[in-house]
Amino acid sequence: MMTIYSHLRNISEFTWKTSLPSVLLFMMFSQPSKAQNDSWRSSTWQVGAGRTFLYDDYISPVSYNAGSMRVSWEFFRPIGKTEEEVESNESKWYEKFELHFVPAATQTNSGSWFFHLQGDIQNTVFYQFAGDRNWYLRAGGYLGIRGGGRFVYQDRNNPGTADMMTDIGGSFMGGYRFRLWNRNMHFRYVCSLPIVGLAFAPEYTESYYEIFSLNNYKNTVKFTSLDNRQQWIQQFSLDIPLSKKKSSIRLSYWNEGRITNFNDLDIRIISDQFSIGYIKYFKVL
Amino acid sequence: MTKPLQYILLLLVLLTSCQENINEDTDPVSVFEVAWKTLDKKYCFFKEKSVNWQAMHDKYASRIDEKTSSDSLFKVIGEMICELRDGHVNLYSASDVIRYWKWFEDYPPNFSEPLQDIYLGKNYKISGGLKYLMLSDSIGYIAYGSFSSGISNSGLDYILSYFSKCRGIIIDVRNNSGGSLSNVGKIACRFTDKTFISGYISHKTGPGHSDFSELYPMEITPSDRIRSDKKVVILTNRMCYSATNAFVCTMKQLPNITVIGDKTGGGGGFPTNYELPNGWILRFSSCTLYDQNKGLTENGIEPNYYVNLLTTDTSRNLDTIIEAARYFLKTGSIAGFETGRSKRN
Repeated sequence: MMTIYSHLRNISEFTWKTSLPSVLLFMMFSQPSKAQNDSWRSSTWQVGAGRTFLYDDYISPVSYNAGSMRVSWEFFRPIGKTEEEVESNESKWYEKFELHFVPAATQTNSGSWFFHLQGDIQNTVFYQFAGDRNWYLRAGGYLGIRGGGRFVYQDRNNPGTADMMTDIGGSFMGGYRFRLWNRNMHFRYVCSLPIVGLAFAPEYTESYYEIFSLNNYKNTVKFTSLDNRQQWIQQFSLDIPLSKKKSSIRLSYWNEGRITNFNDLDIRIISDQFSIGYIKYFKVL
Repeated sequence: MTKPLQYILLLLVLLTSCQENINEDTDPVSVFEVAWKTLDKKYCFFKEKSVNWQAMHDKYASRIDEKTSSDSLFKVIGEMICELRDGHVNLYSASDVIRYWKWFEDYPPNFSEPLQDIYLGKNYKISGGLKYLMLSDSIGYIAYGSFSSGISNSGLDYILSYFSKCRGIIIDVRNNSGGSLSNVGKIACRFTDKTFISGYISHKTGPGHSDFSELYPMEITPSDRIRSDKKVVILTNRMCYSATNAFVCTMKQLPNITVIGDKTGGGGGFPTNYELPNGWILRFSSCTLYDQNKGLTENGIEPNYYVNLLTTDTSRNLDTIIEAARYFLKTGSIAGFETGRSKRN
C-alpha cells in the first residue's frame, strides 16, 4: 500500500514539477498577437532603505541584522488585443520587467564588516482574470535571474560566497484605485514566488579555491524547487499622482525573503524595506 | 481606519516579525555550544586525530555556566580545541590567541634569521615576497618567508632568467608557516615540463563526521612562461606549515627537486574562520589535503636528507642547511658533506 502511495505521490510530484513550469512559460511567452498596438507604458525608479536579516551557514554560524538599501527599476506595459482595449485600460495582458539592486552591510561583534549584495532581473507576464476600472486581480508567470553574494572583511580563506540563480515562478498582482484628497490614488500589491530553477552552491565546506582554481564544479549546480528553496518578494505600493496622467510618486513597502538549503547549507536572507519612487507614464505611437 | 487598511498593517507586522535570530546569544553557555557545534559539523580531522568530540563536550561543558567569566570561557574553549592537536585550530579574541604550536615548539628550530641575513647581505633583490641573490659559488638563493606574500609572474620570469646560468637554485622556505595555496602552483609550474598531480583535496559534504567528498586531484600544468630545468634544493624546518607543507609536498615529487633540512610541521588542511556570537574567531580546517599517493599530509613531509643546524657552524656564521644544499648542488650528493665542509673551511 505504501509503495503504491509513494508511486502515486512521485507521479503527482513529477506532474506538478513538470506541468506547472510549462504553464508559467506558456503564460510568459503566449502574448496576444497584436501586442504591437500597445500605447502607454510606465517607468518607475525607486530608492529605499530598511534592514536585512542575514544568515549564511557557509560563512558564519551567527546571524546578523544589517542595514540595507534598495534601488529598483520597473517597466510596466499593457499588452492589449486592440488599441481601444489598451487605451481604455481594459487590457487583459500586462508585462512587468524589473531590476533590483540590494546592498546590505553590518559590523559584526568581532569588528569585521559583513556585506551582502543582491541583484535581480525579472520579467513577468500577467493575465487579468478579474476586475474593472477600480480594481483588478492578475496572475502570471515570470523568469528571473539573480546574482550576488556575501563577503566578510577578514584575513581568512573563503571570505565570501556567491549566489547565482535562475528561476521560473508565479506572480500575483492586485490593485485598487480610489480617490483621496481629490486625487486618483492607486494601491497595488505584487508578490512573486519561484517554483523551479537552478542555483549555484558550493558543497558543505567546499572552498572557492577548489571550485574556481581547481575547477571542481561537481554538485555545485542544484535544481531548486519549493523543497529546497522558499523565496518570495512582496511589494505594497501606493501611487500618488503628481500631474495628470504623466507622473506619480510611488511609496512602497517591500518584504523579500530567501530560505535555501542546498548541500546542507542553510541560508536565510530576509529584507524589510521602504522606498520612494517616481513613475513616469509615457505613450509610444 | 478602514478595515482593508487594518488588514494590510496587520500583515506587515506579521511579515516583519517572522525572523528568528540564530546563534546570536552571547552568554557563556551559548558561545561554548556554538564553538563546539561548529567544529562538530565542519572540522575535518576527527578520525585522523582519534578524538571523541562528544566526550570533549561532556568534559568541558560541565565547566561552563551562565556566570563563567569571559577569560575563563576563553580558557575552557581553548583547552577543548587544543585536544585536537592541530596547528590550524585557533581561537582569537581581541586580547589573546589560543594556539597549538607543538608541531614546531618541541623540535629544533633549524633556522636563524640573523644567519640568513648574513647570506643575503645587503645587495639582494626583492620581487614581491621573494628575496634572492646569486651566491658566490654561482648558486641562486631564494628566500620565501610567507606564502601570504604575493608573487608576480613577471617577477618569476626575471628571477628564473637571472638564475639561468647558475649551477642550481636553493629555495629556502624555512620558518614559512603558510599562506595562499595559489602561490604553491604559481611556483611549482615553473619547474615542470609535464602536467602532474600534486596531490588531492577532499571537503566535507555534510555535518556528519564521515561526510566527505571523493578525493579531487590537484593538477599542476607547466607554465607557458619561463621555466627552469635547474637542480633545485628546498630547505625546510618544522616551521614549514600549511601552504608551505603543500609546496614541499608538491615540489618533492619533481625529478630535479631535493628537500634538505627537517621534516615539515604539517598542517594538511584548508582552514577558514568562523565568528562566534561574542565576536571571537574560531579557525579550523574543513578540507583535507592529501599527497600524490593519497596519503595524509597533516603530519608533515619528510625531507630527502635530514640536516640540522649545528652550533659549531652557527658560531662561525655558517648555516649548516644552506651549506648542505650548496654541497649537494655542486656534487650531486650529500654523502660526503661533513668531509667536504671540513675541507672547505
